[in-house]
Amino acid sequence: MKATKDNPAPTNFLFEEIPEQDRADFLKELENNPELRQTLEELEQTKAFFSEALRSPAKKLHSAQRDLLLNTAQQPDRHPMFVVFAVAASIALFGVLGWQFMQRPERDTGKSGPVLAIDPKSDPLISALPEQEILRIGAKEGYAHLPVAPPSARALELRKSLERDQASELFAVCPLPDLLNAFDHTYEGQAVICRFTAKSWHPDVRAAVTSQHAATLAVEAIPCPWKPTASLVFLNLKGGLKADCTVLADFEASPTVKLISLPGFSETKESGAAEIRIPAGTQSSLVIYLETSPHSQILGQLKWSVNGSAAPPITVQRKAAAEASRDACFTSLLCTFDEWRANPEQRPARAIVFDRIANRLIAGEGPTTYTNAIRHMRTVMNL
Amino acid sequence: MIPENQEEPRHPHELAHYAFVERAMAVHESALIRYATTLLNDSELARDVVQDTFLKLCKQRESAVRPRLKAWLFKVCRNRAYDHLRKAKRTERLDEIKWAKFSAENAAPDESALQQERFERAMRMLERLPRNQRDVIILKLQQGLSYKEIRQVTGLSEGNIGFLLHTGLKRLRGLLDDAS
Repeated sequence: MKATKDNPAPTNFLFEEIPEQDRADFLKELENNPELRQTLEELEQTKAFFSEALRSPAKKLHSAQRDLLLNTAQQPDRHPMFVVFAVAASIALFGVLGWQFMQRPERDTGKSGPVLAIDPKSDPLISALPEQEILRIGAKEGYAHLPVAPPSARALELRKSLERDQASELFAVCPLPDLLNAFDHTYEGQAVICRFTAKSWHPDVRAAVTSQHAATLAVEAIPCPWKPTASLVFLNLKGGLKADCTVLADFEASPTVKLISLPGFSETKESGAAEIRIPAGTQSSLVIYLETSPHSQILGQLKWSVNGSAAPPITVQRKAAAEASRDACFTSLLCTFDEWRANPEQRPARAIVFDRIANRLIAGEGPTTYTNAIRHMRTVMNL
Repeated sequence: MIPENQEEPRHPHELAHYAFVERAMAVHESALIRYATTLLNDSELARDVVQDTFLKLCKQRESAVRPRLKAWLFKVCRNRAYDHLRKAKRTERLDEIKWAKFSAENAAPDESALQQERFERAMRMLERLPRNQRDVIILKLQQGLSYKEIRQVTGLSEGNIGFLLHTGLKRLRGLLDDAS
């Protein structure tokens, strides 16, 4: 073996990575070559210094990160062939269902339909109703600070009474924000998750009540059930699982928006630009009412920050009524109920809209708290 | 540990996969965080990178990664970390203030000032090496990976790894001598 400056044999020997056939040669050379011994000694000292210097205290993932990983690990390991088989089976199933659907003499538009939301334009009874503007309070032109707030004691009490299926007079008196916060909502529109450091973001694909990360904001926008040209934007902010977070959220309307309103909030209750603390393990929901130019789909942008760090804005895009998620339909029902309470002169018309949405929700699968709430609201409305 | 509000895994292969991931986390979590922290100079971002690494592991078939699990984890972690660095355009040299901040964040409460100083010195010297030399030195000296494992992580040949380690260590020796 020839010991040269660039020959890595001393380093390979040091790390016990020298090939066996070269080892004997290296040892022999080492015995006779003081320069090589010096080199090896220096390498050993350097290795010792950097091995020690790069040592740092052991760190672990945050407990919520570990929970997320272990939740994910519980999902079954899908073999590629399983996926292929599942796709093929799905195609076959949809083919059969589609064929059966085509054979039906008349489409059933009753309660058993897959679509939960009502489409005000296509519902002859609702489209015949006179349009009535929602209470225009708590918003500024083109821009609204969003008073996202943790659930109040009243909302929590309402939640408990619904879970126990106890009759509650709270439905008659609870403001809309409390009604919204008495339920857990999972909206199926755009969403952004704020991780612990607020440095990385990805879409929310989970249905957990709270965020595993610092916060999760999910948004869904659908046509307003009692005014087809208007839109309702539903926001749900999931707080952290184990840590409080502070949130500042604003809605910046697109130029096509003519009116913004925050149902359930009065002028004096508008939040301004103050940060709101969302306690760990809670979530909060809010509704924005918008009137826009016809055919406008992009409604605006939600700009928000978590723990002082700006989050990527969410573009709010209106869905068709038929694409509304179950929770968005239920929220629109709560809004309709609130409208019924707020506008005595419009109660017959609002009751019709309420009944349509409620019937669709009852026909579909949903949590018992929804069914209980619908029953209580009907009691209040004498339906 | 089964997380709260989750049903127990029901099938044997689900249980096995769960145990595999849990075991991998128990064995490699701290080492990966330490490694990613060294690359990123940010322990929270390092945790995010390591979380992504294990999320990717969750989606893998155990039989595909088990034989080379350690190298696979370090490879994914390294790629994720460099993705972050590229996106953040943080490829500039790390100055003294950054490392001072980093070491202060990472020092245990009872850790000696000497250790902090040594860490800062080491990182400043490593920053003066080309990236491929720095990579193999960190993987070897901090993580104790074999040449074969470093090859699996970096894609470099074992001969090249030996050469890079050798030249890198000699350069570091020169820097140590200069400093003293």
